[in-house]
Amino acid sequence: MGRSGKIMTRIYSRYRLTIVAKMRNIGHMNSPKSSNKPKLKISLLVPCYNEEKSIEASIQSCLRQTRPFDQLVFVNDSSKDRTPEILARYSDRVTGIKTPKNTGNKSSAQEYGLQFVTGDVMVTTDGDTLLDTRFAEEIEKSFQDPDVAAVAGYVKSIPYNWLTLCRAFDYAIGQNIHKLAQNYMRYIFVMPGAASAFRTDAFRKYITFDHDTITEDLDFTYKMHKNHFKIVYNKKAICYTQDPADLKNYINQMRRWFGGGWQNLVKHYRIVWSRPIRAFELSLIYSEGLIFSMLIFILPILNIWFGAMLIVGYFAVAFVFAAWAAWVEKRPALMLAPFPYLLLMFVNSYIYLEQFVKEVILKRKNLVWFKPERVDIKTT
Amino acid sequence: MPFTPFIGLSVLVHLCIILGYKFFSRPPTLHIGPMKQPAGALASGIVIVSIVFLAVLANAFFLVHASLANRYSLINIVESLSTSTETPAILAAIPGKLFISEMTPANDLSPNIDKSCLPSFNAIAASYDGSFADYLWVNDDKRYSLQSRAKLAEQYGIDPYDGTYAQNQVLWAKMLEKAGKIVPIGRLSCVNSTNMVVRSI
Repeated sequence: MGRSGKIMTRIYSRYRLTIVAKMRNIGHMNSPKSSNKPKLKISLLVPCYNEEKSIEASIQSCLRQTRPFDQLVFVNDSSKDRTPEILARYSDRVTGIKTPKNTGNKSSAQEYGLQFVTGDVMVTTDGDTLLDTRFAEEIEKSFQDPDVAAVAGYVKSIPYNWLTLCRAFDYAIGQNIHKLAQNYMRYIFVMPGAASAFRTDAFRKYITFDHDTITEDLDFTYKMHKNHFKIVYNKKAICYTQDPADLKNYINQMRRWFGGGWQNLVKHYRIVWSRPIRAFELSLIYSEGLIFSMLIFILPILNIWFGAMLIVGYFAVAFVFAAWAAWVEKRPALMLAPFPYLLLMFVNSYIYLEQFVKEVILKRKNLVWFKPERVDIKTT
Repeated sequence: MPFTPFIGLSVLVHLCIILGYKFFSRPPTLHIGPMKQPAGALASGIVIVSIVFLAVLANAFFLVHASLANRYSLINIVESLSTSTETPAILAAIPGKLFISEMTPANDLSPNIDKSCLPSFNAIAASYDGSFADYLWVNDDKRYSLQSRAKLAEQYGIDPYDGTYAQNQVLWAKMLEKAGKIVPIGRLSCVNSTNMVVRSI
């Protein structure tokens, strides 16, 4: 195991201990709190390809739930590593499915696995993601409202280095401000691929898989809105995900996300006209992203002094938000995030514009799936 | 996935929505009704998208305008370089140097000073005299302080010198008179320091 693997092991150990500690305090693991509420059958669908470094931890987090999943479906997308072997070890509790051949992307593996899902509710997550012990319980609570068709969970980044710190900062802002406001407005922009849940029937009938974008979670969300389904955001349905730990992987992931964002906007642009709030939200997000991404590069050229002043001001604002995020997330290290975040702001803006040119102007649709390199997550 | 590449306008808008919800217990005006497409959604969608886009664009234009109006803008510097033979003065007007000047305004601020020529983006600039003291400072680091000006004023027969704007103008006029140049008093209040250096020396 390399140095990065050892560090990751230590980091994960902290989470694992938390999970175990919580489990020891639970005496009602198999009994839902209210017997009056209809009992939902909840299935978990996890596509995995070469996830030997993290899959075991992921499985264990799925098994250690206060409200156990009724079905665990892990789709082995013809992995070439030890993933099948690890899945086989849990065959008594986990349904391990193997695709006939490698599908090449996450949504195809999900589609293959969907045929084996038998639950009323389908939870989708990733092979490198750890679920909080109360995840399934919170998902079930949200689905007690019969109008709710889908639930978006809360994603946290597993601490590793400055890049994951910045990502954690992004998540904190995105989920505690953007998504919370969107929840009030009844328009969730995107359901995270690592922590989403759908009513299976609705998903099968209305959502399905098109495989024509590289961000399937955004595609699902647009389709949910297109069919006027109610999506809610549950901040207590928490999962911990592994984010890129080096700049190369970070850039590739951002290319996929922003590129997928533009692909989906082009694909679903009509949704903008379907409801005023959607018009407001989408135009706000994309106008701001596009115009200010350009401005970030133009202003320092027009006036380097002014650009420097703006950066100083921006840093001050980012620092206030970082202090707030550190308090909300109970993670003091987030106070340091504004320093590298300033650098990443330029990287993000460049990628945003690059993907706009590629996907919208040049219409070079990139459908090549990107999978970040993983670091070890060990369990006992 | 991140919503935008940075913390920006949308964060402020969403914060307002959250606060609106907290205070009024419901989304202020953005509540969605029944789960069906409302009549006139297309028209209202077009209007909303246009308004939001123009609002964001207006913010961007404001920043561009502010950066161009500022004395260190590329246009101003190129213009100054093309009209000036005083290269050292231009080089002296580097942002890092004048930053201190802007952060520590001189005490001789006139209440009637015309600030139309001052940088519009900087609130601190409102209390910046942008005149004689700055001229001295740009040309000689040691002479812009109140004490140095007092010594200078004494040489020109202004005593006691209290560092006011009015006295600075008198001092400035006397210095120009001695140098054989006549500049109407009051000119100083409406030229920025870079231009002043270029045109008055």
